Amino acid sequence: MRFLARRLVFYLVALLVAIVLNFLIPRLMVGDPVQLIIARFQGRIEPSAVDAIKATFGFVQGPLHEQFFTYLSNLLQGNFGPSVMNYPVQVSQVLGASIGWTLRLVGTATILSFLIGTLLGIVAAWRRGSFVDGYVLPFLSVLGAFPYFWFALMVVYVFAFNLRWFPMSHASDISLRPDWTSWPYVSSVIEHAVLPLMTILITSVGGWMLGMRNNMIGVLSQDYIVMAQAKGLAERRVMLTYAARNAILPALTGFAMSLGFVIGGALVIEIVFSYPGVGFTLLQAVGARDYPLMQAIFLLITLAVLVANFLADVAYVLLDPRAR
Amino acid sequence: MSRKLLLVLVVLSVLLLGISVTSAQMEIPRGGTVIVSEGQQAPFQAVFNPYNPNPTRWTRMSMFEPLIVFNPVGGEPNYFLATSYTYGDDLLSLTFTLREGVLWSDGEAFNADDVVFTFNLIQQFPGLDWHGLLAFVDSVTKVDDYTVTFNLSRVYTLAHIILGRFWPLPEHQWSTVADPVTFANETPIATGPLTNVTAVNEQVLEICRNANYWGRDEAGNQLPYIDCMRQPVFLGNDPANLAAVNGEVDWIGNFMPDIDNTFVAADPENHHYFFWPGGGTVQLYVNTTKAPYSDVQFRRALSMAIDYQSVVDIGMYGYTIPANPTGLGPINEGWISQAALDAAASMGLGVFDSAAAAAVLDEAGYVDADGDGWRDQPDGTPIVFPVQVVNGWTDWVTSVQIVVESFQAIGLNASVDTPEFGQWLNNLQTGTFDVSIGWSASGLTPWDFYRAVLDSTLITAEGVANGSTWGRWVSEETDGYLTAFVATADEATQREIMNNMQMAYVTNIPAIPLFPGPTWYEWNDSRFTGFPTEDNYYTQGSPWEETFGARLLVLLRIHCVDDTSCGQG
Repeated sequence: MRFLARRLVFYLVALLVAIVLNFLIPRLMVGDPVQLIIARFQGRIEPSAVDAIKATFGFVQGPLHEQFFTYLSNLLQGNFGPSVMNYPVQVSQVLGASIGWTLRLVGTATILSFLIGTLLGIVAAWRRGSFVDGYVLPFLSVLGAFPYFWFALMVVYVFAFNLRWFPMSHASDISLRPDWTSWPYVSSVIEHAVLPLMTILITSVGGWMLGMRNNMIGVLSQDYIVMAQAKGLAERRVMLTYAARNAILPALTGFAMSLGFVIGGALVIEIVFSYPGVGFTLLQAVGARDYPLMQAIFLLITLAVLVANFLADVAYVLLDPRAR
Repeated sequence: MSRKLLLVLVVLSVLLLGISVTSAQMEIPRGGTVIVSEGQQAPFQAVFNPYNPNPTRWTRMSMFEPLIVFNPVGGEPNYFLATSYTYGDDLLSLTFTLREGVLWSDGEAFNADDVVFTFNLIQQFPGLDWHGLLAFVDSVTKVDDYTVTFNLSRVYTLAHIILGRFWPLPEHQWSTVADPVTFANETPIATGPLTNVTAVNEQVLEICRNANYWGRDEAGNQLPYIDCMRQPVFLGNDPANLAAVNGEVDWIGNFMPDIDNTFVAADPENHHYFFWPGGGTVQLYVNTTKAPYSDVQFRRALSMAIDYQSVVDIGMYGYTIPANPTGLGPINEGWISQAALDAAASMGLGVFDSAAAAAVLDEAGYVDADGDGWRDQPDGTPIVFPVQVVNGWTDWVTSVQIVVESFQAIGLNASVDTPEFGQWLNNLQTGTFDVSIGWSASGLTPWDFYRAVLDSTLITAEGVANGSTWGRWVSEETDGYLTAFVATADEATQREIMNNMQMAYVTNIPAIPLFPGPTWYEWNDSRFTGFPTEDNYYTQGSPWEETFGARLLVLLRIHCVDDTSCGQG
């Protein structure tokens, strides 16, 4: 328990530092939101409209210390304020529209990818030189090394545009009203998720598989594996509860990190499939210098990574007696 | 039967036939949902306040109507909530007669009170002054229920265009709004053809027709013909273009590379495009406060060195035409001064001629003094300049690459620099650049273009250049033309002023015009028709056009073509 308490203190300090950096870093970027709003019209607006916009957005142009106190008090109230580019819509509302899609798609993909990759890695290490080890592993590794954007575009082009097996874009049929109790809507959501999900899976599974295989091979040379086999334990038992249980420990930290980053979305997938999500929202917020929106997303990512790491620590304690 | 009677009968039957033919033509099919795409589009939020800096698409110039739409193609007025306008004799007042019989979408009548209320609201909350009205309007007076007079604080003869774009708000709704600047107006009440919002979320925007719309066609049928407008969110240009090629969208405003072999080839009969070069002229801006860019001979040599045809053909995929040296594009065609063009020709401006450009530099003393292969300033200081262009704007980046090659060919040490958009904008506005590509404005008269590029009052005391005054050109002469133009309503005087302005532009070369901005517009005739075509370009077709209000003119003309397209949900 002392171990967990120490970790908890560490995470609290990390959170405080993140809150300050989260405020400062966006503001170190050159360019201000008011000018960018005007510039987006590329000369199609009357230059005197600048006064109107300044009157509206005074709140992002005040002195830095005032902005910081507004930011802190907003945070304490759990309120991120209005978004600049979607003014006067609240940041929470802007994020609310995309975060569900991101958690469902990227969350599912990350968990599936970890599970499948790890299982395949275990098998590949246990049966070295087999089909899984000799062909599946290199194939998935090569796919994982493809330029992500290009790969996603190819998937759309082949399976959606040419073969028409799947819809090309969006997270559901846009002519249907969102309603989670109606089967046509839910089935269209599932249908629309297949291609993006497969794209993330195929490109990420190789990494987990390779990592797990290498960890396993290290563990397999340990004396206690030979001991377990000598005692005549079942192959499956040795593979899963003796070898894999130890080999998975380093992978858990990586998994916790990627679970934390789920909330940041999958930008490329979102753009290629026009799948709503946090990644595109963040890209836009950075482009528009939408400080409140950026802060909210970065803070959520930080929080998620910290929480996921803490959970990984707990898992460590449960899996590895030495950590207790 | 007498021959006379026979003739009468023949004439009558022809007439009747003619009538039946025309009445068959007047039977315009109604209904259907037109699908729109504008290229990359961020997820929608419900902000139906037209005076918000960034309201939901289709709030302005389709949900909320202006008084008058001045057609960007040809400049003719199309009267919407006003039916006429007249200036007072002293040009210090502008009176609009308002349309009678207009209902707000909730059934209340529209009248002068709404117009007066809206202007007073803007005066009370300057954050709403999106049109810049407070710069020249003092107050508004209600003359009667359908007549209002705006009292101007100074003579400003473009007032009818700017006030024509003014969107009246319903007093009965907005008078109870505490802060109209932060008001999202999620359940809008408006007078336009599309007011009934049926979907607005992270994937789609759908707005359907206003059952109370006042507009009628010549046969007396209520407008618009279409039932709804649906705009899906495409988070990137590629998926948007793929959907267009696939025939999923009807009315499109996307940039598409190699359009003939992609979009058109997919369905040559129904897929069309027309990129009217009516946008603001894209120019090369030079920082005229720094040597050697402050020297007109140096700028002249730059203008002569550029391979304009390659910029247009390769950089811009042949989607536009080279600009002329006055900077005025097709939208101001009727204003272009032959004298200015002749003067430009005698200076060799706007014509690609490396040898002549090099000769100009030689003569002005820009020669290679230190023997490094690049020209230096007459005092020996090396000339090294990056040409800035926004990262990721591929058509502009390619154009700048060609421009830089042209410069290198005459011995100038130029290179390409691609800062991120926010950084780039900041560089231009604060003057931390030597040469950069950039946009300009365009309007019904050349005033908007020259004002955006040359008006020194747009440069703040802190040195921030607003509009497109990035070149930091400060001249009493050109400032004087800008003030004089809006101080007279006499067209002959206005023409003379603009002729002088063009002459000043070509002789001083404050910026180097590259090409008029193409306006992205494609359409698919298979489900809806009535779109502007190249032969009948009755207004700018781009669905994103909401400065002039051209979009309203298109919305009221398009209609479905058959039972399937008319009945689709």
